[in-house]
Amino acid sequence: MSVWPEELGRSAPSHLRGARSGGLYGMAIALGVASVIGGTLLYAHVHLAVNAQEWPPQELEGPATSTVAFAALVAALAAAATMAAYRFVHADERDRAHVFASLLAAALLGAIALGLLVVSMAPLRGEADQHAYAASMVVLGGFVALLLALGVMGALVVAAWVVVGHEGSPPSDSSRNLRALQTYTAVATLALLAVTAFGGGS
Amino acid sequence: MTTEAVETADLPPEDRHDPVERRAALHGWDPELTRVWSAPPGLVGWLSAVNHKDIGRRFIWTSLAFLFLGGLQALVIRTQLAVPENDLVSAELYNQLFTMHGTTMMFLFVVPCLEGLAMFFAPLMIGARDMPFPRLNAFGYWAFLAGGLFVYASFFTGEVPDGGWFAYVPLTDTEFSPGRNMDFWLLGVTLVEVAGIVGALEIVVLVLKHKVPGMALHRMPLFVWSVLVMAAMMLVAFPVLLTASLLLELQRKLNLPFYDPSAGGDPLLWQHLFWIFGHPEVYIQFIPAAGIVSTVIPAFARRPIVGYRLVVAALVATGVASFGLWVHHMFATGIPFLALTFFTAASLLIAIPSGIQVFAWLATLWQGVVRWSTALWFVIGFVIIFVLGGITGVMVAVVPFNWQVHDSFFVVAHFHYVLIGGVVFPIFAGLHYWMPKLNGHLLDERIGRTTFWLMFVGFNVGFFPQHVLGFEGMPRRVYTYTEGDGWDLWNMVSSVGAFVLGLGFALFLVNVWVSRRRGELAGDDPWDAPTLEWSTTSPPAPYNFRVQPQVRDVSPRWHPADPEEDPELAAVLEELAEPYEGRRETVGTTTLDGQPNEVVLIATSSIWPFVVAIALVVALAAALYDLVVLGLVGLAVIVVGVVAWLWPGPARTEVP
Amino acid sequence: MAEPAGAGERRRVARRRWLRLAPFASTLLAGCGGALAPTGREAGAAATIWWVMFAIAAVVFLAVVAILVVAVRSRRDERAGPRTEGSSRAEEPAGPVRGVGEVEAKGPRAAGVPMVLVGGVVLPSVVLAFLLGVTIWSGDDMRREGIDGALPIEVVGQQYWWDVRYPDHDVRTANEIHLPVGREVVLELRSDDVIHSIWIPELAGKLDLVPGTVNRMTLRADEVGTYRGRCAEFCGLQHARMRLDVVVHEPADFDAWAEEASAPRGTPTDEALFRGWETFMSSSCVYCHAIEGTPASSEFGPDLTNLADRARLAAGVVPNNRGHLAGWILDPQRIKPGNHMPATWMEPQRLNELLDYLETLGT
Repeated sequence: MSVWPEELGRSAPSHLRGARSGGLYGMAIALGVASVIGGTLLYAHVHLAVNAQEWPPQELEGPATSTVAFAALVAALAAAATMAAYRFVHADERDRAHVFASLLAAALLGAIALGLLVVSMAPLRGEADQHAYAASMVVLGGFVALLLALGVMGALVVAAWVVVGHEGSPPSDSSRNLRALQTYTAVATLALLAVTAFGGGS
Repeated sequence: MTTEAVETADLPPEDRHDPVERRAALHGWDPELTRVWSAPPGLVGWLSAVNHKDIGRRFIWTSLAFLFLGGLQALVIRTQLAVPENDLVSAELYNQLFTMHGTTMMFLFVVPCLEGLAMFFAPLMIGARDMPFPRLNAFGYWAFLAGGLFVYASFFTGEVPDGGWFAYVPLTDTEFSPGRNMDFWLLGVTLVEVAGIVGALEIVVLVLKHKVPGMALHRMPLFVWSVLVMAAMMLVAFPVLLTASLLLELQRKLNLPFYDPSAGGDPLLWQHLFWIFGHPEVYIQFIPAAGIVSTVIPAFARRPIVGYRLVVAALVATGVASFGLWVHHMFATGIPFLALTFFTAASLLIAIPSGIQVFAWLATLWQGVVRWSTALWFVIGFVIIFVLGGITGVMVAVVPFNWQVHDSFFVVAHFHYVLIGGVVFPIFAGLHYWMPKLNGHLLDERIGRTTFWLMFVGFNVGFFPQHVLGFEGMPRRVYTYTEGDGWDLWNMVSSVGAFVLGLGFALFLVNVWVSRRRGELAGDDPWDAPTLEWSTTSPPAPYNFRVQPQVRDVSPRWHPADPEEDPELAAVLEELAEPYEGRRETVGTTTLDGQPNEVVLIATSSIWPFVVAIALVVALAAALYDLVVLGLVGLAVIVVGVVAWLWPGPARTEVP
Repeated sequence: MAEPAGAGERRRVARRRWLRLAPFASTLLAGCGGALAPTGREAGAAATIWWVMFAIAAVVFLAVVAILVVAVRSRRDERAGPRTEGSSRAEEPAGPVRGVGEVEAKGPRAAGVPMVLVGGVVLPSVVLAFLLGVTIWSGDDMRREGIDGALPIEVVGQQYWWDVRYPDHDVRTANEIHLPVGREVVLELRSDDVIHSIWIPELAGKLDLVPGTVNRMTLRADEVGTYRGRCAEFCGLQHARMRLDVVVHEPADFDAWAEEASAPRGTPTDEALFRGWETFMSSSCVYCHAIEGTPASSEFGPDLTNLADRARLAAGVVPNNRGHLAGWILDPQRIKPGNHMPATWMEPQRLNELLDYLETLGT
């Protein structure tokens, strides 16, 4: 059974030309790769924890759990803002103002979450070269921080596209991909919270 | 499929000096489609090219260049080992040579060559016009080239990596490897890994979306299945090494003690992470090679493969199972016996899907009519050598035996049997089979047969004696040995064989040169083969198919579909033969059934992938030399470059 | 049925020729020693497993090659080689021509998939299950973490030498292991720097020496003799020259050796030897080397208490004689470039006295 779009005249705007799922497949795979990276970091963390006599070591403080919790919350809000942007794009493709505003909000919230994350890792910064526990927590935090940073940059870039505008090509694809990234990041921040809380966070 | 080839003199006067028109006329291509799908002229155009065939060709030829570099290193190694107490090279240089030999072959030759063949032929075999994200594809090539050059740049600074291709800690930590040698390795390999990952991403999306109408998954050529499995494996295995290398580099640069037992780390963690990548890596290499064999055999047995579904199941099973074997590289590290038994069982089990494929190939040859060619000779050689290598692999999986032969020349012999026999021979079969599509010329059959015999005899003389050396107690990675060891004879024999093998490789290059000089073009389908790449010209037009075909069978050229069965679809496909507003378009279909549901827009040429790759190399070089400012500049250029790359333009919208 | 005389005669000659090759083949494989000339418990079990696997492997390999040969010979398409533009094949008539496009399967079509299943699934499963059984069964015969009454030997791997201790006998030596025949021994393996691996193929398989861990394996040598061990995990520049000598004694001889090796060396009374002793104690030697019963007690480098009894120097690399010892002391980097012993220059007179003294360190 073919789902061939009826308006496939050659003049149809490209966004009507069918499923357009290629970009999302690519984003999904990219997030899969990110999951493998995060999974490897977790594997390393667990391997070292299981093999160590004392984990975390007595003299080390873990990251501030409550700050990480805040970061997770703000990251979730950023994801929500991106979802809102995507909704606005689909509701009315000419409603640039709302789309732009929600993307900016997503960028700002992402930046705040990133800042909170950096602050939460402060107790460990001096210890990272002393013990593998600190090093591993810092790297796990760094992984989530990278995701947050990519989300902020992505939101800003897509917001720029909305402003500049492109005839016949609203940024529905990019906001959909951005939504996937931000959601993933929010989940990753939650996972970091779990590792911190159950793995010796202060 | 093609228009008539036309002499330049017969073109209308206004077109005679247009290089695109002339090229199209020479090969009989549609001029308008050629114009849309070609890269711009000049150096900038060459750097901006994104077409899958251009990128695929570059991957293949660059990887073959690395093959020769790695081969030269091997010949020096074998010369050094030919006699005891040899002083051809110092211990230091020898350690660098075997490290670079392994690194070059594993990271810079095999996987890029197979990826290049996949990039070139998978879209053709499924009837597509290009990969889904061609700019990402181009970036992948530049990243691969840059990564390879990065590692080789170490020869110019005298700090060549020397920790072995699997770089065990603590040897590769700063205490025992001061200097930048291992940093060259870690950063350069990281870049090559990134190239592999983006290529794999593309292949998966290609197979999910770009098959022509009617090509359901169960009608896909086995080579495409094999590169799909390879790509999926790469997406899981490569990021593991990426992460592990990053952690080691952080340990070296910033003293983060992941692998340091005195600070909570564990040297065995590196081995686990490396082999969780490393074992699937060898199947990432074998599976597409098996796909090539499953392509060549039907063409020269004149019938489709026996047990298609079994072979698909075997490919997938091998891919999945290969992630559960890695500890068999660590049997001698002191792992508890229960774990040893589990990994032995898993390592033995994986022989079964390989056995299924071998017997499928034998059954196809048995039931078919054999037509000889160089490609088939290489396949025959592959079966013999790979089966032997697989047998020693099964032996090495048995723990008590493993404890004797691990890290000895027996295991060196084993993996060369499975890698050269099981991967390089099929690659050469594929090169001889597909050369008309790569450069328009057939390789000479007589030189090809001589190449085969030199390689087959040279290989066996070179590597069979190494099994004996392993039993006689010769460990691997030793720069010399003493007369009293009693290893003289077989080392000398092995070295002679290695040179004969090298001669075979060199003869292949001669064959390529000779066939190009001869100039005779090959024609569309010299082998009367079943798959769609033979429905294009040799070499294929930039747009591959003027009218993308429909498919009803796993051998579409032997059982072509009747386009008039679905006139509406036929009309749409005809319409796609006229480029619209200069857009690059290909038909998109559903994953499982190949039902058309989309016209996919393909990105056009762009210089930005090249720029981003250069910026990435600069950033890594900055990391190598601890230049923070330069690193930040590099990162900034990467960000700008990526944004420019993705920026929606008139000829395509939002497609990465 | 009577066969033509020629064929039977040829067959008999061929058979004789193959039989003559057989001992040659097994000698080739047995080599000059090593894993296939086992004299230890573990190595013996591994060798048996090898021969069983070899027999199965030979059958499997020959069967596959035979099938391959039959498969490619049974029906051939005379039109070998490719079609090129302008070649005569392009002018062949269109329409069904044997060899063009797909061909009819020869033989019963049903033979295809069953062959794949039998050859690819059923037979391998049987063989592999058998091998798994062999692995599990042999586990009992293999190394263990410890056995009651086993003689403990501690081995610490270093770049590029072996530090060997016998805690029960108060012996510390280097680059050599002495064993009593027929008795279980437990090796406790550690490393101070990078990963090494100890491998004495005639006696047993290998086990790694990993920093941060202690690995243990039991070992039993069943024949008196000397064997050579080597490091089997790439450990740096001189990995190739990190060997050790293994001497298996009768139990009484072993006890005698242990006693001698642990005996303190006194200060020599002879004047010339005393000067040699003095040279040692006042040079940089004492920074790294220990001699039992003297002020030299650094454990950083190899213990020299029974240096003169060792067969080889520099971790099993060069024969232990005066010339090599002199060369080693003066410039170790010439013999083993990259090892951690610095060069020590001394005048010939002093060197000779030192060598004289060092030659007393033993029986």
